[in-house]
Amino acid sequence: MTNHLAILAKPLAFLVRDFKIAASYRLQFVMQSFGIILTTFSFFLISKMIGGQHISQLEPYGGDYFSFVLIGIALTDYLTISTNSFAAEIRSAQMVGTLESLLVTPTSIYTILLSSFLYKLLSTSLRMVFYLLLGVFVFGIEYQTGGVFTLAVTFLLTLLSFFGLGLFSAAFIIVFKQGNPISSLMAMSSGLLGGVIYPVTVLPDWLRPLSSILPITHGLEAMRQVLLNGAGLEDISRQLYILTLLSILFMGIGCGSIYYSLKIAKKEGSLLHY
Amino acid sequence: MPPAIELRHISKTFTERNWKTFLFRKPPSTKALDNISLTVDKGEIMGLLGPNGAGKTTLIKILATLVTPDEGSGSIAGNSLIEQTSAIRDKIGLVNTNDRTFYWRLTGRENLVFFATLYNLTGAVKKKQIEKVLELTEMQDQADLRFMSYSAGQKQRLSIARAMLSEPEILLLDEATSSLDPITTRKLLNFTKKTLARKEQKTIIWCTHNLHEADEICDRLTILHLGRILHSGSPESIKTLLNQKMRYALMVDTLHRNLEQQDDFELISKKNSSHLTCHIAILQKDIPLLLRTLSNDGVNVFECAPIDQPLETAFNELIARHSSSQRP
Repeated sequence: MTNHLAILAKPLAFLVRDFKIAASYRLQFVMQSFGIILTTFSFFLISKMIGGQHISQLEPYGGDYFSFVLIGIALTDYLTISTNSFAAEIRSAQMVGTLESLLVTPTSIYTILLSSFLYKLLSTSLRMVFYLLLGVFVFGIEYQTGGVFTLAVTFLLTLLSFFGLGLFSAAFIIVFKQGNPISSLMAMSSGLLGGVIYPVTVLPDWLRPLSSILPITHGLEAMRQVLLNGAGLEDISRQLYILTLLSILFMGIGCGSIYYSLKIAKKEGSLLHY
Repeated sequence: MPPAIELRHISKTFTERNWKTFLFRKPPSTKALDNISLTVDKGEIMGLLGPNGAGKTTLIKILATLVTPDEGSGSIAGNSLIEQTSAIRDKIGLVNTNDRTFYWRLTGRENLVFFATLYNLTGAVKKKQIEKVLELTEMQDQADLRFMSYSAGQKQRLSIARAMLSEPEILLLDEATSSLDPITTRKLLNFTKKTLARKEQKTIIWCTHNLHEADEICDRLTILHLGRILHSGSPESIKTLLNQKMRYALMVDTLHRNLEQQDDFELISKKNSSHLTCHIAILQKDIPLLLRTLSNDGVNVFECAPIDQPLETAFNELIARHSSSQRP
């Protein structure tokens, strides 16, 4: 195997592991798919209810609530899995007992965490594609498809900042074992302030500064501009600039906190405690 | 040749922290290891013995780089215990009693494929190595069954197979036989001594409560108590260390005054039977002299066997002595 492929061997091993384990729970597979359809349909009904009304805050996004909210819930899925997955992997491995067997191998904790995220990333991406296809073919949404590269850059930067928060969250679990206020705080604040189911322009003026420090606010704004208005890189440069800064900041905090949390846990001998 | 494992003045204290201790009082602490120095040579089987709370598992975790010592230094397979933990993990294999360290819904082979990748094995080498460890542990026939369907013995054998994947120089076995039946235990002891230590030249740390198996397979024993090493040496050296009298059963054709004068002399069988059995208490080193005297005086000795387990007696005595010396 060439060196390039060897680098991918470990992430691939985690992907295969998680796929095989998930496939062994078939009912869960079916229930998840059913859940996606239900969620999409309920938002479709909400949009039908308010569909005839003119909502000025939705004008920058083409005026259609359903297409607006579908992007919101799709990206929120990524936020949820990013901030929860790393912590959940550590917690589950602590509880089940596999953490010890992972940590005695010559594989770094960062590789373990990022690789164990791959299956969830892939399944969430499939879910996102499913959301969007459902929107297009069943509910008649029209997305702009020209800016694939712009969309990819936006998505990557948004995901990186989510990763940083997820690593910070995992570091909390390594030291304190349970709780995990970071992912709860992020889920709550993003749902309330991030513009997921309503535009941030609806928020009172005094709350808007808080909204602007959340990566999801900028990620959603940029993705909606690209998908709904056909915006290019230049049109969303402000959001990309902020997302870059937030990614660097959160990844730095995330990686640093994992390093120190491991040091503390090994020092206290609590690494495998739960 | 440098030792496979060298520990110098290792100490470890666990401190229990919570919000109460953070705010109001000094956190309670437990000294798990106190100034431990130890060397283990390549190809040697070192037994770690001690009662619960002696510090055996802490020592194993330090060797496995899962716990950082507070003080001291050391090297494992030539790598610093403090600074080269990743390189150490490449050279050690850990076997413990926890069967939850596997993925139960995957087969034995799928588990090994996953862990082999984490040990940096790829392609044909990985495949070959998996087959080799399955063959070594006689798990080929069960390899494609889900881990959840394995017996305790099969789970333990797969744990050994996993530890052998990277062909580690050092194997850490923590209570490896605790869930095994006597036949599987016997197979594992033979496999460890003959195949792993003697043939493959692995250095083995065998951590156990079971004194008989330690006596049987270990080249050297280290007895830990309350975080300290009470003694480290060959099983024989520990048995003779205390120089205390042990009880022996002798089968002779006639009684002799030398037997009757021994401490705790007790005649077990009747005088008019063809063979006489008696119990005496005697120093192990004095046994040859006694047998010679009996032989010179025309007494036939058919059997002379210890009644007490020598290692167990020595172990208990060492622990008791250390415990009493620790009392205020």
